[in-house]
Amino acid sequence: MNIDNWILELKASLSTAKKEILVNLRYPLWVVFWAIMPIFWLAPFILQGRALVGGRFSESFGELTGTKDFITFAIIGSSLYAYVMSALWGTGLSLRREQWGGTLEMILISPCNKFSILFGKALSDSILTSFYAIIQFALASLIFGAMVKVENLGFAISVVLLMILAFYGIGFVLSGVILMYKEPGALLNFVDTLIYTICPVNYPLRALMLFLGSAGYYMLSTVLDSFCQE
Amino acid sequence: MVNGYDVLKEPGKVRASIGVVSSGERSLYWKLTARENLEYFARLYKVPDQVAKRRIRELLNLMGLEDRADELVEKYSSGMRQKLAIARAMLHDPEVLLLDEPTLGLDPSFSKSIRSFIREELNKKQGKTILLTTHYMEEADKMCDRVAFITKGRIVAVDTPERLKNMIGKNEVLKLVVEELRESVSNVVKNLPFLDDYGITGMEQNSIKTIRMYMKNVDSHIQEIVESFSNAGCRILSLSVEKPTLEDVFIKLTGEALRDEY
Repeated sequence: MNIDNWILELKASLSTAKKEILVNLRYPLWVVFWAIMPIFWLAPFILQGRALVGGRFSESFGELTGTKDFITFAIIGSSLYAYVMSALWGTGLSLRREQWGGTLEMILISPCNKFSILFGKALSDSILTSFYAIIQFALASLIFGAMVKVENLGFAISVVLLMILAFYGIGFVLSGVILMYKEPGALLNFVDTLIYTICPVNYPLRALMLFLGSAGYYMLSTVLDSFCQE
Repeated sequence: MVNGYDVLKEPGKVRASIGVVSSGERSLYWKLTARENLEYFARLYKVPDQVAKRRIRELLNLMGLEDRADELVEKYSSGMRQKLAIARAMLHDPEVLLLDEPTLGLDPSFSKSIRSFIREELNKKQGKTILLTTHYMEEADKMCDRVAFITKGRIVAVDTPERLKNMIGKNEVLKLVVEELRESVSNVVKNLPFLDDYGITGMEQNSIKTIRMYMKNVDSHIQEIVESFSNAGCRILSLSVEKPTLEDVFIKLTGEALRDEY
């Protein structure tokens, strides 16, 4: 493929990302939903933890994680997990939506490389997820109070990007499976729940029982979460 | 081979040679404007930006959509969306156009203008090769140089509309619309020995049936036909003598009437 063609493929990706973002933003109620609802999903962990510990700091939590502040732990974890969810669900569901809407055939019969379309969708997902994650982090910090000390920001962003790339790899494979079997719910829920369980974002990894704790150490998102928590 | 390209070895070039109108209005992004839709597909079809800008302006103008180009497609009528779908298929100026039911669901006057646009502008003026699927026989008759009949996934005949209609022979067609009151109309037509062939359309639960009967010298048989139906308790609602159409050919070839007659 020559350089001109690379540029045209890149433009197709960027256009796909732009189209996805425009379409998403034209459903304002969904924008509000995704900006606010995750706070309600996070709240039970924090409220229950606060009730059990009687505050925001726990000695035993500190022994397991290195930080006694379980509230900040949960807020950072859930913000990062938004990327995992987006990578796993975003591309596959987006293709499925195109299929339901009747536009999938039209984009697949174009001469553009299919990877360019997937990449564009992944890019828009990442941008939208960052947008929502920032809002969620800000709101959660405001409501529950997160004590964050920013160090090595550039390195943190690099690790986040690495994690996104890795999970989009899984997401692309799942997209193919979804298009083949046309049933995204069961498969995605299974993979999502599995990752959510062995890569804890709202509880310490060491709290996991049996072999699951060991498995969690090998998850990229666990490494990233640990890094960001530190 | 499509447009000189091997579909297995050069699928990208084949796709670039083809413009498709399929699923009509559903194949567009309703939450984007007409211009945004066209800009997006221009990028997918790798049309250079400057060329795309000009093509989009020309096509919107050609389709009469320029005044509403920046409105969301969800606010468009079905006809406008169909026009936009056609404009989208022509964006990259393909040599071959695949049009799947381009007039499906459109009102008669707009269907007529779309047919004329496809035939006169795209086919005759711009010289595009057009493969059109339709179940409107009149549309196929008026628009196509060659017609293929497909039934149960198999092509049963391919030829010019005129040659296909000649398959009916020197026969004339007597079209009768009757209300089936006592006896089944198929029993009546079976007992008419001078018929070369016939076709009956109409839903099972509906007592009104349309019968197309093929025979020579219709005039000499009309009296007998009317009497046969009256004696069988069928009420004749209308009667006309017609020239054979492609629908008659379809009935002759397949033995079944077109499903969407009613």
